[in-house]
Amino acid sequence: MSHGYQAVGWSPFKKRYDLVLGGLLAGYLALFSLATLLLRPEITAETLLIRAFGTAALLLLHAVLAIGPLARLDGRFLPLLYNRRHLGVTMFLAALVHGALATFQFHALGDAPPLVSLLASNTRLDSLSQFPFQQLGLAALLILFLMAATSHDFWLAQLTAPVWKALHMGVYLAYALIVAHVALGALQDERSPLLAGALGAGVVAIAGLHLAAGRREAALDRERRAAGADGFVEVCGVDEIAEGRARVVTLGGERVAVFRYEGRLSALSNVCRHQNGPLGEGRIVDGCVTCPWHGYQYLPASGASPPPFSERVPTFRVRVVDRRVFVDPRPLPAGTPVAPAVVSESGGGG
Amino acid sequence: MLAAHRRAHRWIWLLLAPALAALLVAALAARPEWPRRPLDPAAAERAGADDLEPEGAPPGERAP
Amino acid sequence: MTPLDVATWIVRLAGAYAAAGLLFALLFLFVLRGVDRIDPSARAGSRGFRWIVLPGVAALWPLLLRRWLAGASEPPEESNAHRRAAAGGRG
Repeated sequence: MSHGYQAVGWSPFKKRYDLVLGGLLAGYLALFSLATLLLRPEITAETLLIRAFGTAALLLLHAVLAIGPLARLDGRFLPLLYNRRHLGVTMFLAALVHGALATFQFHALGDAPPLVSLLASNTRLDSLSQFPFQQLGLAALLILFLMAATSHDFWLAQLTAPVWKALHMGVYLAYALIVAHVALGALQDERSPLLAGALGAGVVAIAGLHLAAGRREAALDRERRAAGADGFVEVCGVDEIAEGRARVVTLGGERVAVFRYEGRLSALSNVCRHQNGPLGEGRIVDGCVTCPWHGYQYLPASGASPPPFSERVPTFRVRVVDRRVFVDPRPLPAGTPVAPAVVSESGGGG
Repeated sequence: MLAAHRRAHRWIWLLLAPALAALLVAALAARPEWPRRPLDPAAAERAGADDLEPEGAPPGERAP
Repeated sequence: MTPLDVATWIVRLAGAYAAAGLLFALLFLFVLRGVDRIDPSARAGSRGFRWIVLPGVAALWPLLLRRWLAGASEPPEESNAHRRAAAGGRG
């Protein structure tokens, strides 16, 4: 929020999250090394490390990709999303170790500089089993670097959340490149069905989760409501909105959240100023709309963050007639105060 | 997430899901009968391989 | 041009870009402190913050240089359907 940037906004939850993450990663590397040394005792240390960090990065990438759609499908996964950026940076670092070691093992100590050798030594684009898969890995690593390097809130502010998000959707290109990197690389030589089976299962899981979450969201995005003569659109009944919660509806090309609190109703843009999280899925805490992703807050009547913070979101006019909620779909500039609609106990309202 | 990004996600995965499946199937089908080269030359040597080049037909071409 | 020539040029260009980025990042974050000018939250920021954004500054230096030269003093406002309608419509 708008006071000084910290390197990391540490909290007890983030420390626990990172501790578990570090422990799982260390545990995986140890187990993988042990299993490999038992099954393939002739393996060299470099190859072992390349495979250990490569498979670790692949597993972490699947975990990172699963969190988004899982959190859409079931809110209980939201805590995993809260600190997902640490998971992503860790995955990039594991991939970097893998890439650096592999570049050294296959391209160092030759005539050409290692990176030049990596780019130029295989140009068999016409073959699948001989495809230049290492370059695919390098391309994916560059995308993951850009994402890790811009994971701080400073970049969310400088790029703005929508541009930042578009950049970070590059993870899907990186994922495709990495699946190809493994399928056309290690899988061409690996005889055991374990790697192929695991990669196949991973692709099915990630694709399946995204398609399921997408299908669920499509219904809400597609709904169209007609405006009445006064320009207001009927949203729902007052009693359909729980106290301290919101009803979300698509108006004016984007979702709007109508919050009910202390006998009043206010409507604001569903899009959080921080990372475009779904404000309507949050709740009222200490009199403020609280984003379920990272806890950013806004006063419901004005869409402005409480001092000393300065984030603001657009607001909308709300009316209650015969205990039905009506919203004017024409948004007001971010931070514009709007008198809340009052919900009286017995029908009607202002 | 913005509505536009949600739409983009749906399109991306409608295209990516079959593409990745096809890629995996094609990659598995393209596997040569033997490894094209040991990934770990030093280990292959220790394991007793005299010749690092595979014998028979070039990699990628299946024996009739 | 052989693949080796192409690869050599790609690596040289990338290296030059990265070197320029690293130099810019050191000036922007520590010496001339341009980052404080373009973002108020950076002024009150910790030193660890400057180190953690250094890789990104080195990578995206053209964007930040442009903003610094243009005299930006606040982060930009995002654009989405509601904000555009509020600004261009009756707002």
